[in-house]
Amino acid sequence: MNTEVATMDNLVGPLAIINKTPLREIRAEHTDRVVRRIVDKQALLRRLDVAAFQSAH
Amino acid sequence: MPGRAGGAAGEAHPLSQFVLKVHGRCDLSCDHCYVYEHADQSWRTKPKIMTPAVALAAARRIAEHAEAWHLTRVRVVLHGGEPLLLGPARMDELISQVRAPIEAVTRLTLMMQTNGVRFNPEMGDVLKRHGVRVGVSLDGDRAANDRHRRFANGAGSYDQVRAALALLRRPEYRELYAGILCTVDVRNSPERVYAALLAERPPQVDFLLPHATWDSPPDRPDGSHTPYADWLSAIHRRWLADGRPMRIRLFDGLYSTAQGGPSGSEQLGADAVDLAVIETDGRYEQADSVKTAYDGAPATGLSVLTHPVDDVSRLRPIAVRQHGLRNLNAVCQSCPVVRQCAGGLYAHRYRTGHGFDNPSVYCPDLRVLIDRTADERSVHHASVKPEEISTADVISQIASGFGDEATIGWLAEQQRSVTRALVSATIDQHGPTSGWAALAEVEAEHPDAVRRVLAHPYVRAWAVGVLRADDPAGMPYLGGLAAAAAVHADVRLETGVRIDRGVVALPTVGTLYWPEAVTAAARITVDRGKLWLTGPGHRTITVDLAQPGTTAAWQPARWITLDGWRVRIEDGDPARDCHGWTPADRLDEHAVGRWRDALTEAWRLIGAELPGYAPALRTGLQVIMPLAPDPAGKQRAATAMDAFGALAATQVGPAELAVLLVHEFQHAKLGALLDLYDLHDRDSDAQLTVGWKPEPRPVEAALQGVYAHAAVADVWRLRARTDPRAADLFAMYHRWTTDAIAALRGTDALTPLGTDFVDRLAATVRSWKS
Repeated sequence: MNTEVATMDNLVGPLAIINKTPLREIRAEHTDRVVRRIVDKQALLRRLDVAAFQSAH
Repeated sequence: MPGRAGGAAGEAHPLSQFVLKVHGRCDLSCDHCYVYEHADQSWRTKPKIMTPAVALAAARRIAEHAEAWHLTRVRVVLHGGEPLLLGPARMDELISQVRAPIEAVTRLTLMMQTNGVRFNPEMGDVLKRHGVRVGVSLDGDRAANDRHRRFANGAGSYDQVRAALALLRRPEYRELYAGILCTVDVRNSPERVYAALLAERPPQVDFLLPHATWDSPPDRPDGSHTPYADWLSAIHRRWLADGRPMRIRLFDGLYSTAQGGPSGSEQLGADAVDLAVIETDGRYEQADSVKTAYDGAPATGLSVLTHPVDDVSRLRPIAVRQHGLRNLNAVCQSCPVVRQCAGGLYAHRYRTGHGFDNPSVYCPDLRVLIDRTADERSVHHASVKPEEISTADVISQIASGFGDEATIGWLAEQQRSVTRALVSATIDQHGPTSGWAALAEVEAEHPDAVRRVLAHPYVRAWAVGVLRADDPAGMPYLGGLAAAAAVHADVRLETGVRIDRGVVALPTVGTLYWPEAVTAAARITVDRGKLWLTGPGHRTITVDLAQPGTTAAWQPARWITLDGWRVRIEDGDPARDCHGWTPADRLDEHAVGRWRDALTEAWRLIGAELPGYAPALRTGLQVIMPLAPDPAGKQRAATAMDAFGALAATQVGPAELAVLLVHEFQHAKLGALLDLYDLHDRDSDAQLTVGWKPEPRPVEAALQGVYAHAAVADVWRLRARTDPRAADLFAMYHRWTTDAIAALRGTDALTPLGTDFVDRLAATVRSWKS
């Protein structure tokens, strides 16, 4: 059973592999972690999507 | 033998995790199961299923406990036996009973741990409707899994479990997929187990040491002293070499505890285990793993029908696990790796006559694993990433408020890798297209041309949109990318594209405009400096790229080059519409001229007044996306986290534009950092009062606001001698920043990295006070 406190995520390792792999050789197993952090609904709900500024006048 | 887990240990304390045994039987007969095959045999006397009435009673107890202790969140794990044996209708009813009372008082996270055998779309729909995330047990490849995980007739469960995992990977259920739980058997090949688990593409894997005690020690074949450490180390090395493609809780926990962080698991580390089990009849029990110790070990003698959760929390075996290292035995207390191991899983410490006051029966393995994991990680980093900027350097550079060219260049490189991953994921989700094949073909011979195109900020925004919408209609955008790469590489290419409301974008090269604002399939050909776009009615537009200037059908990319800074005005790509405000339509040359003049003067001002921000802007900001004017004439600017390197703004004067550039690029830098690292607990519900908004802000928004407003404070500090408004504006932005930093520090939502980031930023801001 996991405890309530999650350990920190870090995308640097998976991205290093993706960076050096030709597009057609990138495997889904390697992109999953990026997709889950950047795209999935859970990530969307918890992330700020746009930082917007509008002047008062 | 000890009796029930009675004996109050003192004051009540909050428990936030509850395991509900919703079904007491299982459709598998795994010989390593702690519920049926280990010392505790209490399952024989318990009801088969949890009735809705018991579920409601449990939920009410949890709710009253959460309310009394002001818990911001409670986690409930639907467990068994096998929870899916309830069937979809009963499951729906039971979850509804559980949710109502708890969600009336706090936030509820629902999980399920299952063998997956009966998972099907009907059940998936029920779980999706209730937001239940699903963990599935799988022990590796067929041979490994079916060694233990078999039906009563001896048949293996591998095919059924894999079918369940395939269903969980489908886009409609992907959000449910929590991960895989794998029980270690050292007779299995670690390499084959790792490969089999990775092939299931889980978000996370947790390796579970087989339950054992000093009375019933683990199997150690061939007389090996530390076979479990050896087995796990083999997987660790392979996982490191693969770039850690999935999270492995055990290794993430070891890395985290090595830096003083949490382990995220009760197998290792000193995290508080604030958990109670509620059986099918409503009786409270301790964690299931203690079933391995002796018959009756998890029993508490308490029930949701008669006792509040506080009574359970007072019981000694539950209370002592709240205190991390304090209650460990003397041997563990003196061990140099006690902070990482913390005695291992509680159940593994049991020995008749001594109870749980012992080191783990896996002590030799844990000690070797902890040391070896650290060594292997160091060796790996030293061998493959000598050029990489360290996390500490990145945090330090960005938290300073600025970021040098090397750091921003590294962040931009990470963003390009994110884009590559997401573009590749669109193919995984929607299947290959002609544009994809063309793009990959160009890359094979001209990787720099493709790299240049994929650096376009809105490629990621497009990919995220296609992946989230689960709609393949936008896939021909890849044809435009391939065509743009072919132009850069000067190679012939023909592929499919989509005219999107009259536009075909060739990012970094230009934009094609069809005579009508239609959306339709088309073909594009690139050959020897010319483009041909053939669309509806077999009409063809021809563009000679050697001819300068714009036409009605063709807008070449418009670059503004200033003293080493090069930005592009993007007014064509449909994917640019991701900033929350309406983009401006295609600009005429007069409008572009106004932008050129404003940017030229703003860049001069930044160089003169705010030189500390120039390197980051020069390295990272590539695109200005003009916004449609606000009807009331207000300034607007926005940074989309899915478009690093792009800044959207309405046209303003140079002095205001300089501030907007600095302010908005702060958001981009921090957004890129947050893509990579957790600076705050993403599950935190904390809401902070900030000076710049009337309503409370969540942690990430507050962090973004602090970082951007700190830079604006700096701008007005630096303009103190040249602008009469500067003193008042500096004071305002400085106050907003320092107050919000204090508010962030007052939450428990910052991770150790986040705390370091905020501390460094605070030091920068403090240095401006004078």
